[in-house]
Amino acid sequence: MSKSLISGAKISGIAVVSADNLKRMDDDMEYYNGDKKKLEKVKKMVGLDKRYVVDGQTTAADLCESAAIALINDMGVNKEEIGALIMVTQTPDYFLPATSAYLHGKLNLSKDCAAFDVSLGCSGYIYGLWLAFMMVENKSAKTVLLLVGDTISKLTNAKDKTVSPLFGDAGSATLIQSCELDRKTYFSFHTLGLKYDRLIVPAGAFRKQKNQETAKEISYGDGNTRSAENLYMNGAEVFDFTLEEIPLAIKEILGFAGKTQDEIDYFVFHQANKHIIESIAALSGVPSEKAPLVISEYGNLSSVSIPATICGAMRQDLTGPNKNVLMSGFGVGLSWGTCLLGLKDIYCPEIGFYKGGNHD
Amino acid sequence: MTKEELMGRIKELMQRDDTLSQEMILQEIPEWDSLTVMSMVAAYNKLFGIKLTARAVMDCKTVADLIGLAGDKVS
Repeated sequence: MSKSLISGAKISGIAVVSADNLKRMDDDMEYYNGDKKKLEKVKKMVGLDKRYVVDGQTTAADLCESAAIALINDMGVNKEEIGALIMVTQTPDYFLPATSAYLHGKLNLSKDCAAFDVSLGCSGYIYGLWLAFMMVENKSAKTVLLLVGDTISKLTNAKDKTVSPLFGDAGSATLIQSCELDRKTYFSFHTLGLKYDRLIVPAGAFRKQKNQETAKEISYGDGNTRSAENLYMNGAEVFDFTLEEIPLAIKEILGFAGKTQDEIDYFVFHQANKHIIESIAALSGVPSEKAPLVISEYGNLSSVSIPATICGAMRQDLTGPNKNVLMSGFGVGLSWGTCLLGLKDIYCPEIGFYKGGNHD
Repeated sequence: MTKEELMGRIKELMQRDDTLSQEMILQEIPEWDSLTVMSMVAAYNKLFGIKLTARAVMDCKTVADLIGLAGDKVS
């Protein structure tokens, strides 16, 4: 299985909450040895400028909780009708229990509610939608609350320019509900598990538990420093994988849905890197105005990139008639998911900033 | 396109002000970095319709090797 067609389910609302501590690329000058030319080159090509990160106490669950409360209150959702809560994150609160259970309690949801976590990153939003849409289609739940959040800044080493300047932290809440049966949504998924170590935090879980060795910072020949407990990315291989596979995945889902590219109003890409998005668009013949970018405003938000692009760049266009939207998430796994769906009458407020809360 | 023209393009992609010669070792050029590698991939596709991988560009040792990736598209 890699393709799936689902009828009678829709997205009704999306809310995104960004972390609140602003970081600017210009503040990172020290990591570029004061080389302003190089820093400007990174800003221009990768599209980096602003990003927001959490403080030490705030987690992805906190950001998602805040987004969920906004969505539930603003839309007047009856909590009793939420039959499932899905939490997609790679930065959970605990090894156990699942963060979804913690959030189920914090949000005071009904006891008649399934709750589970999904450990995926850049492709995670598409997977979360797929699971939610299936549950609504087969009537397991009338309403599904999909929470997607990550605080990747907690995994990067500030002295590693290959990852640290890229990532911002954010959480999101998406409400999936039943609708008329003639609304169809198409999904496709792929995995290249042999490349699992191209984007990885090598130590800290159970394959390699934390110890003095794993905490040791090592300086590499390329001028970057990190420990085995930090995020590592093989940028060249991830870049090659993306440009090879994503244009194919776009072609595949358009063929599956029997649609042409002109019929698609928006191509929402995981905000990995401006140059990558522009290259995929060019390879696929997608005009750049159909592929919105929010990376300069928020950085790479891992699984939250796609909902943040929707709320950050498309929200005004989603209150009216139907828009055909193709979403593409790709990265860690290596894993990629593509979705083609109609968006209309969506509740989609501006991206909010985390206002703190009680950490317990 | 001539080799000289392509070398001019590569110099622009690197955002290098100083001169560039075919014998130069890429690792010794201060402007040679991963961003230039990404630009090379995009530029070869646009200029010649050649789909390069970042890996193939990074495996090049000299400026001449980069020109070599264009094959018979340069004279």
